[in-house]
Amino acid sequence: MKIKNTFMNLIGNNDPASKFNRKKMLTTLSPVIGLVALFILASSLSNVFLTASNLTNVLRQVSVLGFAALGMTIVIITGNIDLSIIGNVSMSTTLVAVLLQNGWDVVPMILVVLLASSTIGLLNGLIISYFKIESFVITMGMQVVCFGLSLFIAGGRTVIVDNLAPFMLNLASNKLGMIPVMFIILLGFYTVFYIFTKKTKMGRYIYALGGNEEVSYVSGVNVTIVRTTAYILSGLMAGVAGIFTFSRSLCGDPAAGSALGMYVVAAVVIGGTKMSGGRGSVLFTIIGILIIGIINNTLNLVGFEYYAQQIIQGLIIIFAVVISSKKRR
Amino acid sequence: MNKPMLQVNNITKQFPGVKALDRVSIDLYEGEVLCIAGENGAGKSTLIKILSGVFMLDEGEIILNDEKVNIKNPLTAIELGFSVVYQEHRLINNLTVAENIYFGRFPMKRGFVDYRKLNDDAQQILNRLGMNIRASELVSSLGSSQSQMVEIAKALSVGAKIMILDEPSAAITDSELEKLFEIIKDLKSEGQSFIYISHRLKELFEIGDRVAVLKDGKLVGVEKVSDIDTKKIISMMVGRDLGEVYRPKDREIKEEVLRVENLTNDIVHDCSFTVRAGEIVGFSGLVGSGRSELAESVFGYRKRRAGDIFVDGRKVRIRTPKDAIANGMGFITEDRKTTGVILNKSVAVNTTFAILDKLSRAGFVNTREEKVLVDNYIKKLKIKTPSDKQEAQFLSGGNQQKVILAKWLLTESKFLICDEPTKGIDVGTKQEFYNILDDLARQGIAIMLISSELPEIVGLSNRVYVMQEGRIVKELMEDEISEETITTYSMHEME
Ligand SMILES: Nc1ncnc2c1ncn2[C@@H]1O[C@H](COP(=O)(O)OP(=O)(O)OP(=O)(O)O)[C@@H](O)[C@H]1O
Ligand SMILES: [Mg+2]
Repeated sequence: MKIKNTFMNLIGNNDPASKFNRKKMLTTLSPVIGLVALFILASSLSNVFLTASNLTNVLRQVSVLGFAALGMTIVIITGNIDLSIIGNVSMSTTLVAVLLQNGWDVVPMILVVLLASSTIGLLNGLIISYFKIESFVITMGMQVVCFGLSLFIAGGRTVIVDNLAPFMLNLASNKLGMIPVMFIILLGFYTVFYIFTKKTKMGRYIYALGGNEEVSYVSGVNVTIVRTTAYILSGLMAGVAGIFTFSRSLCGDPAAGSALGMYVVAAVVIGGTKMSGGRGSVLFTIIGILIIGIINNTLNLVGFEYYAQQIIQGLIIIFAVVISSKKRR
Repeated sequence: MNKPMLQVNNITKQFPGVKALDRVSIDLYEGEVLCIAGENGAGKSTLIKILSGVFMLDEGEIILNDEKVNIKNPLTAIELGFSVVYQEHRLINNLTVAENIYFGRFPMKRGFVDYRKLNDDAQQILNRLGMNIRASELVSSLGSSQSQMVEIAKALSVGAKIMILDEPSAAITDSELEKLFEIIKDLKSEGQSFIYISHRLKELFEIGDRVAVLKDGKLVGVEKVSDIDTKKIISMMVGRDLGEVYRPKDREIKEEVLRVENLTNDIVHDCSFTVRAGEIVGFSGLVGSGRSELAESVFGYRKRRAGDIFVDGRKVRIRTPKDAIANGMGFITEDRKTTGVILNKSVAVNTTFAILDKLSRAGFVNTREEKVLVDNYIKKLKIKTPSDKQEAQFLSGGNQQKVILAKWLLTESKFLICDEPTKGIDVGTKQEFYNILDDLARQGIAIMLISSELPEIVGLSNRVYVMQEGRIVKELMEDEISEETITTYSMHEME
C-alpha cells in the first residue's frame, strides 16, 4: 500500500485507491511491464544476454541515447519537439575531439562544448518563440546546420586525437561494480531533472506550457523564457551526449549523432510522454531507452541480418508506442 | 397524458471517486421542453452526455419510442434523432461558420461541396437567430458568446427530434436569448422536444414545461413549471432556502485606480473609462459589443492600436498580461477552455498557477502552503472534486469555472477584471461569489465586471458603462442603473 502510494505520487496522482486509479496505474506502468517482458524474452532467446558483461554493455550503449532523450523529454513536455539534438550531438563530439587535439584541458573543454550545445538550444527557443513557427520545421533546419558545423569543425573528416588525457580515455570504460560510471552519471541527471520538473516553479511552467500555452500567457508567464529554457536544457544534454559519444569511440566523427536517429523521440514516447505535451515524466524515459537498448542488443546477439534487424526494430518500436499511448476512456 | 417518447430508467454512472448519476429516471414527451436544474456537479451534463453517446451508462436503460436503444457513440445518437449543444465549445476554429454549422453534412454538387448553398443555408439560420455575422467568416475571429450562438445554430440546423441544450445561455444576453426562445417555441409546436439546462432559473419559467431537479447525482423530483416558483426550485436544488439576498452598495469609493483613455483595437473604438478603489463598475452590452475585447486590451492580452492606460494616476506600459499583473491587475477570463483552465493539470496546479512567484522559495514550490490555500478555496467556493489532485478536465463545467475564480482571487490584485465570472455557476455559489466581490470592493479593490446577466450588473454595480458596436455609448450613475435603462441604451440606435 505504502509503495503504491509512493508510486502514485511519483506519477503525479495520489488519489485514494480506486479501481479507476488502478487502471490508470496500469496504463502508466505498461512501459515497465513491457520492459520486464522484453527482458525475459531476451534472456530466453540468447544465453549471452544475461551475462554480466553483456548487461554492462547494454547500459553503456543506452547511456548516450539516455542523455539525448532526457533533453527531448523536457521539450516534448512543453508541446514542442527538438530534432536538432542529433546534429547537436555530432557537433559536440567533433568539438570535443578538435579541442582535445589542440591540447585543451578537460574542464575548459567540457565548459566550451556545453556552452556551444546550449547555444544551439537557445537559438531554437528564441527563433520558435519570436517567429511563432512550428518547432518541427525550425529544429529540422537547425539539425542540418549542426551537421554542417560538425563537418566544418572536423575539417570534413573524422578527427583522431593523440595523447588523450587518462580521464577521457577511461570515461567510458570506468565501472562501479557491474554498472558503468556513465550510466550512474545518467541516473544522476535524470534525478536532478525529475526534481526540477516536478518540484520547481519552472517545472510547473514547463508542464503548463504543454498543457495550455494560452492559459500560461494570460496568467503572466513569460512563455518565451519557459520554452527557451526547455530548449537550452535539451541543447545542454545534447552536449553531454556528445562528450560521452566521444568517450566511447575516442574520435570525432561528424556523423556520430545520426546513429541516434529517431530513437530519441521513440524512447520518450515509449516512456509514456505524450507528443501533444503537458503530460509524462522524465523518469519513464529511462524505461524507454532500456527497451530500445535491449531490443537492439538482442537482435545483435541472435544474429539477424542487418536489414532484418532494421525491420524488426522498427516494428517493435511502432508496437511499443501504440501500447504506451493507448487511449484511456 | 400521452406516452412519453423518451424514457430514461434508473441510470447510474460512476466516475473515479464520484457517482455522477445514481438511479436517475426521467421521461420526455413530444413537443415538450424539459428543464434540468441542479448545483454544479449534480450530474446534468453527465446525463445528457449519456443520451448523446459521449459516455456509456453503467446501469439502467434508455427507451426511445417504445424501443430499448443502446447509444454507444455520438453517431448512433445523431442517427436516433438527438442533437446537442454541449456546455463546452466544440467548434473547429480554422473553419468558417458555415462549414462548422454543416460539418459532416455538406451539400454536394457533382462531387464537390456546393459552397454557395452551404453559405446561403447557414446565413439563413444565422439571420433567424438575429446574428450579425457572415456565414463565411472564420470561427476563430468570433468572440466566445458569438461562437456560442453558432453552436446553437449548428444544433438547430439538424432538425433533430430531440434537441438538448446544455447551458446555451451562458454568456449570451437577453435579446439573443429571446430569439432562441422564439425559435424553440416554433419548433415545439411542430412536435420537437427539448431538454434544456440552465443555471438562470428565470429561463426555466420562461421556456420550460417541466423541471427535473438533480442533486448529487440523484433525482430530487420533477415538477410542472406552472406548479412551482424559484424559491421551491432553489430549495430542491440546494436542500435549503437561500433567503432574500440584498447587498447595499454603500461602499466607500476612494481614489481612481484605473483610467483608460481613448483605447482602440481591432474591435473597440475610442473607449475611455475609469474604475476607482472600492467600486464595482459594470460593463453591459449585447453579444459582440466589444466588452471582452476592451478588457483584453486593458490587460495586454489583445493588441492596442491606440490609447493610454493609467494605474494610480501613473501612465503604465502594458503590452503583455505579465505587464498587467505586475501593475496589480487580475483577469477572470470568459473562455474556460482556451484561457481559463489547463485541462490536463490538477485543481491544485490550476488554482495556484498565477501566484507561483509568491508560493516559491528559491524556485521550489512550497506544496504544503499550496495545499492549505487550495483546500481553503475548495471549501469556500464548494468546488466539487474528489481531491485537489483531480485533473481539471474531470470537473463539471461550473466547478472548472470555480477553479478559475479561485485562481484569480488568490492573486489579491488591486484591480480585478471579471468577464462573465459566474458563467455556469449554480445559484448558491453565485451568491457566495457576489459576497466575495462585495467584500473585495469594500477592502478597496477596484472591480470591472462584465456580465450578460443583467440582475448581476444591476445588483452589484456602482456605475455601469453601456457598450454598443465597440463603443462606450453611455455611462449610468448608481441611481440610473436598472435593467430597463441598460437595455434601452444597449439597443438604442446610434446617430
Ligand atoms: N470524465 C469525468 N471523469 C471523472 N469525473 C467526472 C467526469 N465528468 C464528470 N465528472 C464528475 O461527475 C459529477 C457530475 O458532473 P456533471 O458534469 O454532470 O455536472 P453538471 O451537473 O453538469 O455540473 P455543472 O452545472 O457544473 O455543469 C461531477 O462531480 C464531476 O466532477
Ligand atoms: Mg454541466
